[in-house]
Amino acid sequence: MYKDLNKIFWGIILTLIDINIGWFDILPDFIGYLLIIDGLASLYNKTKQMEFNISIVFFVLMMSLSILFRIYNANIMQDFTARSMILTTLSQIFQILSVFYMYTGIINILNNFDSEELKEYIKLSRRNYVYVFLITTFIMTLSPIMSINNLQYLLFFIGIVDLVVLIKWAYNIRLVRNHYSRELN
Amino acid sequence: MKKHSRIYYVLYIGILIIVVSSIINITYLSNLRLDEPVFFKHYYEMLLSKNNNGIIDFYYLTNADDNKRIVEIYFPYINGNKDFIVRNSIDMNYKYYNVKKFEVIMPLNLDTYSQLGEELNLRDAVVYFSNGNSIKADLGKIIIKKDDNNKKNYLDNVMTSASSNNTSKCIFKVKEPIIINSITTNLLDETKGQIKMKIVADDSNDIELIEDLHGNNPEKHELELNKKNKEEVESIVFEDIKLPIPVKSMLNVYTEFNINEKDKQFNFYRVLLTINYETMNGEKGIKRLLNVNYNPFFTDENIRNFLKVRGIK
Repeated sequence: MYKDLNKIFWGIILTLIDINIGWFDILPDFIGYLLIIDGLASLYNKTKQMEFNISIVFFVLMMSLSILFRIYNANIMQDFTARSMILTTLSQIFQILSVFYMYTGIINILNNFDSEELKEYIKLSRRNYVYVFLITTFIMTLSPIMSINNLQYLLFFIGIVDLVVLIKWAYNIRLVRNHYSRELN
Repeated sequence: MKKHSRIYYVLYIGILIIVVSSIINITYLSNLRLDEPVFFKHYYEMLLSKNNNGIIDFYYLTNADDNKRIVEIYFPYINGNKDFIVRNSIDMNYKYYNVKKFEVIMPLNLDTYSQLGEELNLRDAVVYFSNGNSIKADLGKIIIKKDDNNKKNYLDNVMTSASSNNTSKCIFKVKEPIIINSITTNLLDETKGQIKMKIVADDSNDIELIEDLHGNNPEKHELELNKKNKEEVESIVFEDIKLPIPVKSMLNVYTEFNINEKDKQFNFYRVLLTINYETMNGEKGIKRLLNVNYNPFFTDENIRNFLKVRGIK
């Protein structure tokens, strides 16, 4: 399980990092998603936790959307079209659900270990993640009726908040991975 | 379904609220979309000079995500003439819409133009887009005429300027005393009451300016200067300016657009105001003001007002 969680951790890191050479992104998000999906599939095989499978479904959907974002060059920060709105909202919803179910699966497998403190910490992180992403996604859906000046700052602020929560998610996966490493030793 | 903790209910109710909010806002966005590009009205007077092609700038409104360009324009009035070159220019991006500019280069000079008559008056055009669509556009009124002013010029340009706030200023040095008899434009009906003008003749500061530039000229001191200062003269609608105005040495002309009617605020104007004058010997002359222009100021809000005024949205 250490290896599987390690894959997920690096997958998250790859989705968070964008390195562009000119117009070309040498680290496209779907590579990160593939690593996460691979890690989740292995975890499901070992633990038979259905939540990991549900999480895989939403990650596959997110991966498909990330390709559509590239095709249509959709960016809610720049163009306020119905297409950008739909893609952004769906992407956010899939993100909430995929990470929520991943957290839930991890909480379930932590039940089998004597790690009450870590389990409670992960539960708290899941709750925070859900609240933050629901609120920021809701605000984002209001962007068509906001004035453009306020909106640029607001979307930038939302982007920063979401990024912090996602970094926390990567940190938590690393924490659980290290916990398994200790268990094995 | 297993017995779920409170977080599941928060999650699904939250997602439901997001979906409902998205549907409402996406419907709102869809209602703002234009079915086809909307062309602004342009009221232009243009001069064709020898060997010079005419370049006319036009503006139209598209959806923010509309990437198609104009590839060809056809003016039915000029039968069979499809040689106009279209150059797509800068886009001004707003939240839901883009204001796009394109220029039409008319391969017309005084020789080819003479076959078309004394004055060209363009209104409607058929515009072809890069996606193969074409639309009939009412572009306003574009008057193109020959620059056939061969009369002796008694007004020399000292300074001309035009500002983005749709004001302009010209300072002329008069070679010998003249009398301004009239100020005319072919777009009088279209600009009625919209152009304010201030004419200041023989302002003492300008005389000093010229003396500084060209050295002391004792003859100038002998002139009876108009004691009125630029600041004391009020701008009034140019049709109401009291004429004739005698000018002995210097002429200041200020113009500004003052458009209050909502349906005209989004038009583009390039007005050739012509100052008709005569000298003390009765010799007649004209001077054209080339910088009396008006470009609308766009914001997200007033673009939507424009669409309401036009009855499009």
